[in-house]
Amino acid sequence: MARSSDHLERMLADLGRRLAWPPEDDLTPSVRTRLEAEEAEEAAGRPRRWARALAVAAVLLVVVAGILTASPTAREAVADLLEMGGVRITTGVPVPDVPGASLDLGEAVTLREALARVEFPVLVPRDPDLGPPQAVFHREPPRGGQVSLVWEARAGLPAAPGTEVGLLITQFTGSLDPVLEKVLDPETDLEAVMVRGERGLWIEGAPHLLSYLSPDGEVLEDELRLATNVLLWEEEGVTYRVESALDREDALRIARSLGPAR
Amino acid sequence: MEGRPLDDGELVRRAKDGDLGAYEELVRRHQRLAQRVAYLVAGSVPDAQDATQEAFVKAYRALDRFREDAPFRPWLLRIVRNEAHNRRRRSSRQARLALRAAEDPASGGAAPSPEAAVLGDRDREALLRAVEDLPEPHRLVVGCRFFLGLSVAETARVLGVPPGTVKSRLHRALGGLRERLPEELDEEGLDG
Repeated sequence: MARSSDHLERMLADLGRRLAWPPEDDLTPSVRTRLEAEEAEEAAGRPRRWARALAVAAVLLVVVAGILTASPTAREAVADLLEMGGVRITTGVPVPDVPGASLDLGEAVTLREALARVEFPVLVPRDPDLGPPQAVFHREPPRGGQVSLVWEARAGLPAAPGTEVGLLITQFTGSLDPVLEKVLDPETDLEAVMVRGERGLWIEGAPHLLSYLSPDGEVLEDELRLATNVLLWEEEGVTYRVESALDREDALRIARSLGPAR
Repeated sequence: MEGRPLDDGELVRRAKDGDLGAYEELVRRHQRLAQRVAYLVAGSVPDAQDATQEAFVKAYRALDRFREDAPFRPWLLRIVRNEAHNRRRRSSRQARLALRAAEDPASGGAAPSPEAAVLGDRDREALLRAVEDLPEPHRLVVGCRFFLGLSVAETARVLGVPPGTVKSRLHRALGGLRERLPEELDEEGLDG
């Protein structure tokens, strides 16, 4: 039906050329006024660099409660994601006590199972010192599934406070909403970094909540499991999070070593 | 005073250094398209204008994180889309696009195509209503591609999905439209 498709596309293009859009406002004066007002405030208060860092931190950490109550689907998804509790019981088979079991990461599975359950390519670190993860989890929601890889704390991999976990790598389909609302944690320090050719973020100071966009454009929230540092970035529609007590360079080294699971 | 217009990259560079005048020029340059994207997403004029204004403010604040050699417009439009999306969720108003097709091609701003002489206003209105009735993800890709003339790559960037998803949504959207408007697509006498 190529002809019919071309015809429809031409009609749409023609329609597009003829649309009477609502008249646009000139927003330059109001934008300018707001920016000038903000700069004046900054000059009066904190030094500019720190204020900008905070504003950028505000980019990531979010409360979107008002938005979420609008849609039952979104509400459900968030309730699920934020559900805190003990080990999730999914089958009658007793699960051995795996590291990360208390972090509400979903169902403990093998890496092979996790690969089978999601459609995005799961990446694992090829860092020889690190070795394979001690535990792998899968959960859904988020839609499309989320895979978490856990390493126990050990020499060179300090434990996150209150847990036995040294490193947590999470991946799921969804993109980082680039500009979001409110700062939750003023002590959090945030820095842009290049990770594997993508613009990523390095967050120190134990942020708690992240907001991201599902592939369908819903804004969803996820609470970070470890009160540690986070390196996060997006690649080909998949968001990756590396949580650990490691410093930025070590976290970046691990990120760079990620490759498809064999 | 500059003799030639500065490109976006140069304006962004200056804006990053705190040159508000340079940023103002970016606003002037992109605000029409930005408001139209916002209108497509939010479905209401006040929400679209609010969203666009907020997006420009947020984009300025986020310039630190923006690589000046990357294209500014898709990045900006992504922010606009997010703001419009958030407003639409928060709004209790029944968001409903109310686009009209201009009867006079001149007021649409372009030379009439061959189809223009043959497509009746009635058919155009029917097609427009059908697009407005599409499920949101489909409506948005059709709007970005055909009403705003964005490329697949830019549409993907603005909507935050992979280009493959844009293509498959378009394909399904066109299928949906075809199903809904079989008479209007009757090609008898139109192709020469």
